[in-house]
Amino acid sequence: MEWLIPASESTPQVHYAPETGTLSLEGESYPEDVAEFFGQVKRWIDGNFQPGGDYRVSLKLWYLNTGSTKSLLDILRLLAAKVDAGARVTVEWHYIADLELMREAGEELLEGCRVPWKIVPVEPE
Amino acid sequence: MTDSVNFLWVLASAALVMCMQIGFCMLEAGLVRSKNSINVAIKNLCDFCVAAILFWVSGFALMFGNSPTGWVGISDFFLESVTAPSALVFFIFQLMFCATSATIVSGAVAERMSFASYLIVTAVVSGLLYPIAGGWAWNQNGWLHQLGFRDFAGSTVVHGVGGWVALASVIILGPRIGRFDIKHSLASSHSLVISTIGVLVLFVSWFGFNGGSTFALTDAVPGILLNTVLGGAAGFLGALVSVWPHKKLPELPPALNGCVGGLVAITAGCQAMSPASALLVGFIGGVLSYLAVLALEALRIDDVVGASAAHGVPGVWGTLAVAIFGNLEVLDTGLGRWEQLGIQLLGVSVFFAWAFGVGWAVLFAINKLHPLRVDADLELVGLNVSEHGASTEIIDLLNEMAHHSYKGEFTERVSFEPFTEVGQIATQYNRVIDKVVAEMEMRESIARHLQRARDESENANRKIFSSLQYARRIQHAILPSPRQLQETLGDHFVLYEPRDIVSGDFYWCATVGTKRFCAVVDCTGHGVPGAFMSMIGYLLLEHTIVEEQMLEPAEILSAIHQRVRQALGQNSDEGAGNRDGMEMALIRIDRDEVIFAGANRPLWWFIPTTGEPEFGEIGGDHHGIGGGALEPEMIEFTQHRIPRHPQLALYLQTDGLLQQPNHLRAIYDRRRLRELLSSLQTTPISQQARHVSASLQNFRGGAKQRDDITLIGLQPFSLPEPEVPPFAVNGTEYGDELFRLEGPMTSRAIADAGRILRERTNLTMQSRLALFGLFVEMAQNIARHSAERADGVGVGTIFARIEENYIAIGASNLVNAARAEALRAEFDRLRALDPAQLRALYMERLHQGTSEAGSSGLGLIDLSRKSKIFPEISLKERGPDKFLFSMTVRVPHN
Repeated sequence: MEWLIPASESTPQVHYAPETGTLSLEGESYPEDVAEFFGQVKRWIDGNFQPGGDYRVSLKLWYLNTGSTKSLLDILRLLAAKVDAGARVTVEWHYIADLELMREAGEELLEGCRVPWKIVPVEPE
Repeated sequence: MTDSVNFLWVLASAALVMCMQIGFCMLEAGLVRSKNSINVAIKNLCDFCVAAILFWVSGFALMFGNSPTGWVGISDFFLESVTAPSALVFFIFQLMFCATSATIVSGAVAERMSFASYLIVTAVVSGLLYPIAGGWAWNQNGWLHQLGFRDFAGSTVVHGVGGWVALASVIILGPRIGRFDIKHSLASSHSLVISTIGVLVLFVSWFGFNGGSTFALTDAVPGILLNTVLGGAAGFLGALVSVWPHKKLPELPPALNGCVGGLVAITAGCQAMSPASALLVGFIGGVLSYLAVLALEALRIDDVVGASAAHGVPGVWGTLAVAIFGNLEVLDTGLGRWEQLGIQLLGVSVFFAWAFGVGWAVLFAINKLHPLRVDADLELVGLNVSEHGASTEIIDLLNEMAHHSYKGEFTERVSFEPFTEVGQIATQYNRVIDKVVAEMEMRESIARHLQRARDESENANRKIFSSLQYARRIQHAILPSPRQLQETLGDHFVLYEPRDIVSGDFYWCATVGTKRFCAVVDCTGHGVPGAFMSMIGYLLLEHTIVEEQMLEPAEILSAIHQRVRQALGQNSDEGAGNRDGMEMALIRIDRDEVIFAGANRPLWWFIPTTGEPEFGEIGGDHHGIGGGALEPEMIEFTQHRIPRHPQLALYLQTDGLLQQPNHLRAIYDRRRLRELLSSLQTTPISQQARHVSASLQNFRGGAKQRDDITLIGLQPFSLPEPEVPPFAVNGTEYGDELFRLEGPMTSRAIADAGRILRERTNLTMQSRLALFGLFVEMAQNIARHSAERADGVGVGTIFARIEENYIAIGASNLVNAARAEALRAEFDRLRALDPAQLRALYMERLHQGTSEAGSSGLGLIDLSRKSKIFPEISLKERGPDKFLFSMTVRVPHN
């Protein structure tokens, strides 16, 4: 089933599209309470990513504060556990072409990640 | 000679003796004050009348009637059997003597004895005392006469009785009010001319008094008259030579008394003495009369005309002198000289005892029944009016004058009869009154004019004053408020004392971005012209600094100089005569220094040290602003720097304080102010104004304030907030701030600031992203860790500014001591790492633990590695357990 958290000033939009099995986070992330925001995302993944299912996690985050980066690492660990349990998950980090900082952030996040991942440039809007 | 001649002589003598009434009347009336003169005069007439009738009724009988015992006559009351012409001549002559004896009293008791009482006393003297005692000496059967007592014409019989009764009277009456008052001597006798004439009349009368006592015009008469003249003359001289050396002046009243005293003394023995003896007797009588006056004075006995001194005492002497100098054959008493003297002594003693003793008793008794003395107020008014309702011209005039002064009414004139002395006085008084009235009218008219002029000028003044008050309100509106001053200058004081209602001095402050400005300005002139100039100065400062954002003090002064000249047309021909302008001290307070430029005004500074505070004076340029022909069109002012010191104190002033003179025309002077301020460096600056003001008041004393006075003291680096973190590169600042965020770092505030930051299109996307990341990280650090919190959210400051090679972001906030220590340690550690090591540390921490463990450590590592230059960190103690933490990170422009 579809799931949506609209974007706020300091949190990205969260959307799950059941037909493609894609969970996307898009926007900026520097919430006041990091644990609360990412906690709900984590709980949702835990409850909805089933073994045997095909899932894609699409991240298009202009900015992540350090707290959000750390929380996202937690989510990556959870995804790794789901993969271990039999789910098929891929992670895609989208960055705007030429925006080195955004690319570097993705590299640092995904470095050493056990979930299959790729970093994808996108054209500026 | 025939009886007729004798009759003629004795009757003529009687007439002369009667003239004694005239003499006494004049003598006494002249010696008293004018307010009693009429009373004294009327007494002299009255006692004669009373004495004449009583002597006819009983006096003659008691004195010369058949006296079997020698003590008192018992026949011839109402002159029953006295019908012979010779007897009547005798009666008439004796009647005059009786009246004389009685009238002596009137002068002594003058000025205070009531008229009625005096009549009683006269009756007692002439009806009883005199005739009875007289009989003892002069009745052929009188006991003293029988013993050989001789008193030819009455030294004792007439004058002694009168004198001693007078003495008794004045003792019972007491002195006149004020007679022995040391402070205010009594007014003088009102006419010694009349008194002198009176004595001359008495002198003439004495020819009858002594000459007639022979009862016939015998051969003895010329000798008697000669002795009388010599005695009176010698008496006058005797008194004169006594008073002259004593009082250093030939005073008249004692001399007049002396003359009478000499006549009295010679009266008893004038028929039996040689002229030389008579002269000696008279002389001594005169001396004695003066001594008696002094004795009375010493005893505080107030005998107004000296009756007891002139009659009583010389009378005693004259009576005794009969025995001493008298020709015993002529006396024909058959006694030796010593026996005669004894009898004479007995006689005067008996007479004294009788006249004084009985007189005193009788008067004492009368005084009990009917007070002899008038009431004090009547005495003060004077007996003329109070006893007789008898006024005099002069009194009438005085009354009218008193009426004028009482009513304050000077338009009336006094009425008067012309061609008299009083009339002349009154005429003169009326002239004075006319002059006074004219003068008063003139003054009133001047006063009315003055009053009108004053009303008009007061009215005008009131208008001017109220418009000046209004102007002052306007002028005060341009002055910064205390709060504005505190926020701009930090701790400070302002001493602002306009000389007039409005001032040529003003002060000004403003904040432009992070730069704080303060100016103290002295416009030419004071009062209204100065105030006009101050408005121009204010507007130019606002325009140049706040609106145009010209920030360099030297340039600001140059610009204002030109603008003042422009505003006043000083560069044009029309305004060539205008030399108005201003002097100005202008400072700009930056984070680390103060920039100063001065137009004829200096800047003083103090920095406290362990000993004397360090002092410096930075003189401004020797140019004023504006100034017309006095100054060049363009002036380049000099800019001075004073580096930051936390306790730096600055003083900006106009010259009003230093130039203020005191009453000695010394000026307050810079040394006095410098020493005072130096001594005040340990006093909080906000309290220094009080001391300066007190010192100025003390110095100034009564001298007027000469000029407007302005003195501002400030500690520019005393402001605790906002603390601006360092963002200078190599000491140079570049450009403007990109943004600044102060206050609680709520997510809302961070988001808003972030959006503004991202929208700065003059930056590359990359830079914007970098800046945004650093900003959020720093803002959230403040939100989480600042020791100063509002609604649970940390408070602090973040700003970003563009530098030559970098964009700098600074953040500052308060932290507690533990956090400060942790931060210091963390940055010390991080500073030692190179970028690769930093990244490795970041990655290590990123994968360490959970997000719940917090990410601040990670944040600092992230900031450190993302800052192109290692962050500038500062930690400054701001109080117990309170530090200001500041950090600045930098990223390249692109």
